[in-house]
Amino acid sequence: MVDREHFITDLNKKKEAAWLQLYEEFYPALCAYAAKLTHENAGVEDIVQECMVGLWDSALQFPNIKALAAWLYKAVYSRALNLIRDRDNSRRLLENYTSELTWSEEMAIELAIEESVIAKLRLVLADLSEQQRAIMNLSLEGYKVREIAQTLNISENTVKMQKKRAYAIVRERMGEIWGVLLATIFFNFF
Amino acid sequence: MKTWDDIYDSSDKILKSILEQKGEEWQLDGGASPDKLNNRLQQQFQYNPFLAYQKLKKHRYRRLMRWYGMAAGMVLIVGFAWGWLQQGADREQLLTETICPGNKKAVLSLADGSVWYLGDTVMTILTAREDIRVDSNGLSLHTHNQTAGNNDEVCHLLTIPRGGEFAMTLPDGSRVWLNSESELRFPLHFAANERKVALTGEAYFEIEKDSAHPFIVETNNSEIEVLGTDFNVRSYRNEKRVVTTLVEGSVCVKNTNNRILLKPGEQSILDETGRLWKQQVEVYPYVAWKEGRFVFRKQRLEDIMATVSRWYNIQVQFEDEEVKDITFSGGMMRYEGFEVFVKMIEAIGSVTCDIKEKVVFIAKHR
Repeated sequence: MVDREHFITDLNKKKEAAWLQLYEEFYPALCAYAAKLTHENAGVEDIVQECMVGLWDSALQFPNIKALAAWLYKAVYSRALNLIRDRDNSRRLLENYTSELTWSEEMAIELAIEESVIAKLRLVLADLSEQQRAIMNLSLEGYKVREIAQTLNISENTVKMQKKRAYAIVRERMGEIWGVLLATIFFNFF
Repeated sequence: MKTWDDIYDSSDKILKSILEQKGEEWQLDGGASPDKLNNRLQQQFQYNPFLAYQKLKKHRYRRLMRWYGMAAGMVLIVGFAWGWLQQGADREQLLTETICPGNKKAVLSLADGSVWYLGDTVMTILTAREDIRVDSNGLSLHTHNQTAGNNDEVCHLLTIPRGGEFAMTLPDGSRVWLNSESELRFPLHFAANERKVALTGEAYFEIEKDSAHPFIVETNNSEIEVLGTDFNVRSYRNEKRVVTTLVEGSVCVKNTNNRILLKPGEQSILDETGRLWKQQVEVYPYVAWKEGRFVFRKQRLEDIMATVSRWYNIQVQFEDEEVKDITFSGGMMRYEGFEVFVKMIEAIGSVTCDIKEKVVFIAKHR
């Protein structure tokens, strides 16, 4: 979100900081995505790691982050399909096999978009302090200022103040437009 | 239709509309309610990107090594030196590294063939017929539609490995606590006339009262029928007996040719020959595991070690036969380290324990 162009050029040059950022931004989302596709959470981290290692060993160069996201989600999708196919072939031999999973490319893309949204929301929350995050989590669950203050055993004023600080941090990270948008969510929720 | 290239920009737009509270543009499993969003966030939080990045670094490291064989040789030498130095480390330090008390973990195999590893992480598994939720209370099922599929016999399987424990809530609200190395087979919906589950290993049941639908626990070679009560069942295959201890209410234990009715404070035992009898017992030692305690009353060391080894996931080797028959009374918290247990039996039982990796050798103290 900050310094997007540098991130991509550094990533193409395989610089450490950029790769750590790549993991931070994409890894959890890709794992959750693979878990949804394969309908189990065993082995999904291996799928994602194989894609990442494949990317590291390749000479691929990405023009922008859009292309990077497309490549990552598509790579996980095709590996997940392979896993489903192998697993189903072996399970068909067992009697208790009851369902079959199929994913059209269209469904897979929709699912990837969902997971990507959640990933971005996660990054917004990750920048906040623990108390701010607790406040934000409770407000995401639909609690009011008074209820949050009671749950966390802090004053209503602290809740309001922390909310303002969190808002400032998010604005700094996401840029001015995001800040304006977030103002709405913060004031709606609290 | 959207393409892969649209993922990044589309998700930006959708996040903005979520934050602007325009939920109608965004369908996430039937609506972006805050609760659903939070659930999905929790799912992503269970994957640690930093650990994964360390693994990638190891991969890079291995590639480098291929080119620099010399360097690899150096590392080998350093490695030997380190290993040699490590031998001096004292026993307790090694102990805590390799032998740990059990914790919350289980493997859930769903009827559709998918497999889920459960632990401390909050998660929701969505299937066509129900939501399966895992949180601090363990596992619970939330059916979408009560009437649908009432006649199907589809069963899920919850397996607790050695060194694990897990709790769950059945569709009727009954609670089950499962001890290490146990397996519970339970249906999506209970049948119309009875509530039936199958158990191997050890479990504590708190059954909701419902006289119209008797609750039945199937074990290796017997059935336990209950109406509404609290009781503990221990039926490990390698112990070749089924021990049912009743805390409250009443249960009926039956095998092919016999049946016994238990009152609170009574315990039934079914041995491998098919003999079934009951006795009066002090209940607490048999159910203390559920409260996080080991409690032993004049128990043989061999039996104690069978229980303890499941929880700490260790192997036990007796060097002297007579040691097996030493009896102990005592108790400790299950979540204490294994060294606490070792100190206890060494102090009061005149035995010595020698620990190598995950094997404990117990010998007479000389």
